[in-house]
Amino acid sequence: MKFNYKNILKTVAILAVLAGTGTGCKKYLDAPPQDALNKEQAIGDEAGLTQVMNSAYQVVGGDAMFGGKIQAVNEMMADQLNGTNLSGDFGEFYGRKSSIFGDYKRDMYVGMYQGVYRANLVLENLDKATTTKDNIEGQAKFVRALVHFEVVKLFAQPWGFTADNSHLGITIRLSTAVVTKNRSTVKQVYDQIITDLKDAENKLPDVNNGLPTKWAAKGLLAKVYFQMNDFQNAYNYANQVIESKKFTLDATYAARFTETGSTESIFQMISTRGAFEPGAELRNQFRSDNGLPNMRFTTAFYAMVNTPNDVRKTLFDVVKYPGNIVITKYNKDRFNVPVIYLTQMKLIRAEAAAENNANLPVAIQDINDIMNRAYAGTKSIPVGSTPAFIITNARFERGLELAGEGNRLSEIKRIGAKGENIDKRGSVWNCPGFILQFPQEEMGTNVNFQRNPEGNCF
Amino acid sequence: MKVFYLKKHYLLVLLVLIALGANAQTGSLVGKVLDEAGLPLPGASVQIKSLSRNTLTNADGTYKIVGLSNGTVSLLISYVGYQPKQESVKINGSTVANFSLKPEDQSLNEVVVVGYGTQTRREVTGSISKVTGDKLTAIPTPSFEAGLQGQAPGVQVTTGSGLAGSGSIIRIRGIGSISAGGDPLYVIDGIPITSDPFIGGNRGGMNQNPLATINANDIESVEVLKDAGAAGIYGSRGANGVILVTTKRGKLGRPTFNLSTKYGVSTYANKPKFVNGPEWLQLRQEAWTNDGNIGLAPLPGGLTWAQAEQNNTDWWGLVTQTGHLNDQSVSFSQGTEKIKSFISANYSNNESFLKGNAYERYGFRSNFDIKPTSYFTTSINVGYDRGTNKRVNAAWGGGLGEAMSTALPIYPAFNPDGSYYNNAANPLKNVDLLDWKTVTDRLIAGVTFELKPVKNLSIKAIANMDNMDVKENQYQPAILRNQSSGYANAWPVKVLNHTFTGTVNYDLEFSNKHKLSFLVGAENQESYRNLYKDGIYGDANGPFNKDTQSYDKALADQIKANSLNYVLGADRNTFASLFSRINYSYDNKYYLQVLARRDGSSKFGPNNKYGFFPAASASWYISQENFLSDSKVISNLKLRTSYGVVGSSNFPSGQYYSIFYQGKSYNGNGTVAPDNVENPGLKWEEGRNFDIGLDFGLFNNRISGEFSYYHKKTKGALLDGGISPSTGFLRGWVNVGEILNEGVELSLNTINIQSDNFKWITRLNISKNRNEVVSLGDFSADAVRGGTNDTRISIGYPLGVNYLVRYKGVDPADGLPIWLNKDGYETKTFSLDDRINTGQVLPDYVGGLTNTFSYKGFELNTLFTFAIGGNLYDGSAKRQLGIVTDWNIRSDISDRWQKPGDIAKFPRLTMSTGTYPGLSSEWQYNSTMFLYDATFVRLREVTLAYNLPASFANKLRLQTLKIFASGMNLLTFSKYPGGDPEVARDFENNQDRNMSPNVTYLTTPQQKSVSVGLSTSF
Repeated sequence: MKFNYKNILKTVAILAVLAGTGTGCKKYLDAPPQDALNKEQAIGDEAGLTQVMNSAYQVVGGDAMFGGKIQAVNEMMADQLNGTNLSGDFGEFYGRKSSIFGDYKRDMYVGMYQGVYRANLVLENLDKATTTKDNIEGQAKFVRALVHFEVVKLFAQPWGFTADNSHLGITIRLSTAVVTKNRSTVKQVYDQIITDLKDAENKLPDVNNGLPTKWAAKGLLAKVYFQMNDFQNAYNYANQVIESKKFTLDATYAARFTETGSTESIFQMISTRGAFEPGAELRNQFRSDNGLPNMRFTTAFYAMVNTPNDVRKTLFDVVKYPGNIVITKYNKDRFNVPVIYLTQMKLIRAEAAAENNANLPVAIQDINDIMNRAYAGTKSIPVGSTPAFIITNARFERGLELAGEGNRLSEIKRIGAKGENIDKRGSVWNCPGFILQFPQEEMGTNVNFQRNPEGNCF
Repeated sequence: MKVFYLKKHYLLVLLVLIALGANAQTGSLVGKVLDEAGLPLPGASVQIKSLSRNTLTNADGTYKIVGLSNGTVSLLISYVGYQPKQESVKINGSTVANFSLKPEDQSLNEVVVVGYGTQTRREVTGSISKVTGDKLTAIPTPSFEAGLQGQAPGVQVTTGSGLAGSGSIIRIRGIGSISAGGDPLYVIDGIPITSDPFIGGNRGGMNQNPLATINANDIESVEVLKDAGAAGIYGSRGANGVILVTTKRGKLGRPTFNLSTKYGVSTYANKPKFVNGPEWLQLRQEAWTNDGNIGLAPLPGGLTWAQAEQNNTDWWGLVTQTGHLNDQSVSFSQGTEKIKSFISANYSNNESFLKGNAYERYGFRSNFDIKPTSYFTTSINVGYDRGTNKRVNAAWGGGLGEAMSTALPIYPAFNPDGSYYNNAANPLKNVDLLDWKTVTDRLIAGVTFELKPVKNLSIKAIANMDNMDVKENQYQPAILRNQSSGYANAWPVKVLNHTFTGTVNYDLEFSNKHKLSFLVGAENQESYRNLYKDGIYGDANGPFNKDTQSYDKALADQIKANSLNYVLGADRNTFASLFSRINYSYDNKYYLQVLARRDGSSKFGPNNKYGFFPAASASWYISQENFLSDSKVISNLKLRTSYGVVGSSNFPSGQYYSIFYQGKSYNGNGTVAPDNVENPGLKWEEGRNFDIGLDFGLFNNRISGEFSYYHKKTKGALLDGGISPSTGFLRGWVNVGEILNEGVELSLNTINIQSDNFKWITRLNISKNRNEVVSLGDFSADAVRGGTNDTRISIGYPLGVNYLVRYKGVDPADGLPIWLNKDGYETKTFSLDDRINTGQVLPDYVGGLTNTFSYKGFELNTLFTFAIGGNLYDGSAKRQLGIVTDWNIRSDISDRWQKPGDIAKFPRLTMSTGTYPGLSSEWQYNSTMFLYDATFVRLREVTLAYNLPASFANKLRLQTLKIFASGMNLLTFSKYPGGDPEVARDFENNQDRNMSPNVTYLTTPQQKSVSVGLSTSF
């Protein structure tokens, strides 16, 4: 038997190295995916914090929110669409009979709250911020308020459903803790939204390179108060935004959804080619130049816009798909998605003024500004119009101006809470099915989570 | 002693005398060693023990021993896997002696590959099933692992769909995982290979199967390690069983070429029946009228009735074709003491029955064993394969899926002007225009240095790699997109995977009776992916691999947008392991094996960085005991048992801590987004596995087989869920579940008829598994998201129960459905709250029945595979037989309520979910109405082969020549009316894969094929 000691030594050496790397070197086993960052790397300094904050806008402008689902779901549940073609999840929305299932809704829900999670992550790590601490804090609170506002409008009965708003709202998330949490009352939710927005209003700068400014916070406050039928505050905030003179009405409707953006925009989701192109879901559901879209409008709605001088009727196509009325607002490959903009503010200010029966000339001018553009200067309301007349016109114009943007459902409920049922499909504003059911996972992880009653709408 | 000593001397003297007597007369012995069919056995040993002379037969089975004296000698002829033969031959000059060997029916000396070594069948104490390579190539399965169906007890194979290259779901002794992968560990020549079906997600309704690149022609054998005694050596990755693939190596003997060629045609095994255009319109109108409307029903797709009535498009026909397959392989084998080599090349192309769909593969392999000195050996394996998958959309993605759903017969394929019809689904347009290819280059290579410095000591250093380069290019021309320009996507991924292993093996023999064998080893494995995180995408005029200009522009655009994210080391994970195995045997009767492995992994959280996995197993050859040794009935009886701890770590890396990913920019500024919910305690799933089995052979092994019982308890089964969605997450990895798998397996081989010319062999294997989710810790069953298709988990029930509302039938008075509520009372209001456990996706029994008839050179082989029990849920039927929408309608709808008094299976037609009270949407129309018995039997294989007589082959200068014809899936028996009863659909993730096999959703049926071919060696 021959011995080759050299070879033995070599082999043993190799084995020793192998065993050594296998057990001694702990680093070998701390091999995370190379592209992943840990919390320390991700959010260890102000730059990291800013980047996490930026990612929250991708949620807000993503498909789960203003990229399209918020608008689509709101429109399907409202009364301007003819949804007889809709089936599946969409059929549930349109039929106002949301159930515990449905990926479309579930993904929207969890996606929206991911925005809150990111905002909370930023807020919990504000100590890492230095020079832009206030700005970041303001942004995070703005986003947190914006998401809670959109969720509460869809998943809970509106402000005014009970006299003291003690009815169940949604889960308020103010920390990143991964725990189950029960629903708060609608009052608590709105209180939280307002607290956050007032903080944001104070902390955010005047201009902010496309990110939320104090004007965005004020604009959102106007929308929130308006939704609460709190016309004093709604007027006040809308007025501040308008009177800042930082925003001017777009000359044409073609400018509202464009890549270059709109001059009215107070807060918008910004499209950058290849990086972030918001509105994909809007295009999926509404775009009408490449085939018949899912979202089609009722003839009753079209009749409202189909008046001789209304410029806005060009935003609808009744020819291409005979028997179908589709919107052309979103017929572009890419565009910014305005979330808060001057037209909304003007309509809020006008209606709030009329409700307050104060500053009526301002309200009339607001309506006429909108009408001037809408009817190419052929229509206006007279000086000295009554508050009721102003309100009627404000609501009418809002219905047309914001068509396809997911606003109508909030109006049905806001006005319903004031005692007037305006749903054109004839449902009562507070019937259970008029709000979305929570996804099954929420109840599945928390036996105490109270789900919404269902049905009884049509 | 003394007597013996004398005898020995006496013999020696006698021999000398004989030799002297024979004088100088020299003789020689020549001849052939053949197998039972008369085919040559190359490399068989021919020995004259008394003279210490031996030789091996050549490739044509011939041998020659010269320089012999005349006289009678005793010869021993042996060959692995055959019964050795001892015969006396009288030598007189040049003498010819031919021998034929009979195969050893249940060879205890058969070599079985175990982890990190081999053992003889006799030594094996664990539960291992061996499947030889020829069984895998007998039928043209989409991927080699599908060939295991029906071949081994306890191995459930659900073959993937008819999509070329699709993967199968393999479950070894049940399933012990919820959200983590339940598939076994695949190891090829020592390296745990990449087998993740989710590298490309569920793009286009197909999980790209990395195993499809493996060339089945190169496989010598597949060993399935089932219990802790066998799979335990793989520690934290052995719990789902291990599939060891061993490739062919050079064999001792003269150079031999093997050639095989196969051609075939294929079609779908089953087709659901749909109504045609006029019938569809009629049903639509009936629904419309039932709903109280007057006039004509509105039609989808922007068609008027006049237009619709002109069309009757057979979409299924338009997107399918007669498939063609061919498979060519050539190999070369050679072996001397110093160097053995196996070299092969192969080409195959499976154009499936789906138009535009194919899997083309070519590959090369060279395996060398070099032994320059007696104490040193080097083995080098290099296997390279390129698989090109021409892709089509399927299932929910389109293609045949659309032909079964939203492509209605009333839609035209083309507009009158010849352009593609565009107002609704048009799968033909997609099939015609979409250019989609996935090319996988895979290199599996390894080198082993083995040193034997002293007798019985072997030291091995092994390095292995399994690198895959997946290039997926998809191009949608402008017309397909209805946009002004075309669009291309590329998803290039490189998967790199390597191991370094060192082992030391020492055999110790105290005496004839006591034998000890030690193995210790260390192993490191690292695996990671290099990929473009968001892929590469942009406007183009062709696929990026062809239109390089657009590719460059897309890259530039993405760089500008800060969205070109090339990641080196994505999904990186490491394992560092130490292992040891001790085998003890006494008197060839009692065998004991103790093994342990310690695994550390980067997947495990800091609180559980290392796992320890011990296992012990033993076997007892009862038949060798005195009381049985003379038995005429029992020829072999072995009792074996094992108990051990094994783990499963088939979950993504980097989940134990909060991870963040850099994303595309927002408004020109960088973004970093949180990705998960952290769990510092994250660890493997732990299985405690007990196994007891009996191997038996009766009547001289005319009847043989094996019976096993096992009990596997998985603790800490991983759940990726249980997170309240208002946290912003739906999932997080937690070790919470307890799952029990308990079952019995029987395999039975019988030689029914054995005569000189005719032989009939039957092999049956059948397994029963009972699966139960015992606990989910603090979580309620509701916390587990179901599979995508209405299956879910219930404590006390098998994994993947059909949780459905019970359908009672139709109310003859008004045609509305009657349901049973939770308490069993009839109700006409549908409510998701009335769902209960109504079935299970897992079958009770699975198995296979093989019959082989051979007559002279002819051989007829049939394999029936079957699954008994369990349920099949038809996820498409709720749309195809539910509310009338823009979906196709199955012909079963004829049994429906139409007028008061009708007794029918399906309720009155309607176009509105509101008609059936309580129903919220078409998608929630889940009930037992669409739940079927999943039992099926299918004629998986029938092969008729003819081995031409050696004499004839020799005339052609060939050693062997075999021609054959085989059919796959020619017959299927099942109660399911909706298509193929064997369902492995496209899955979203591992949880879906675990919970929703047997839930079909527009799943492409399997392939049915007939092929012919020949194989030869020379």
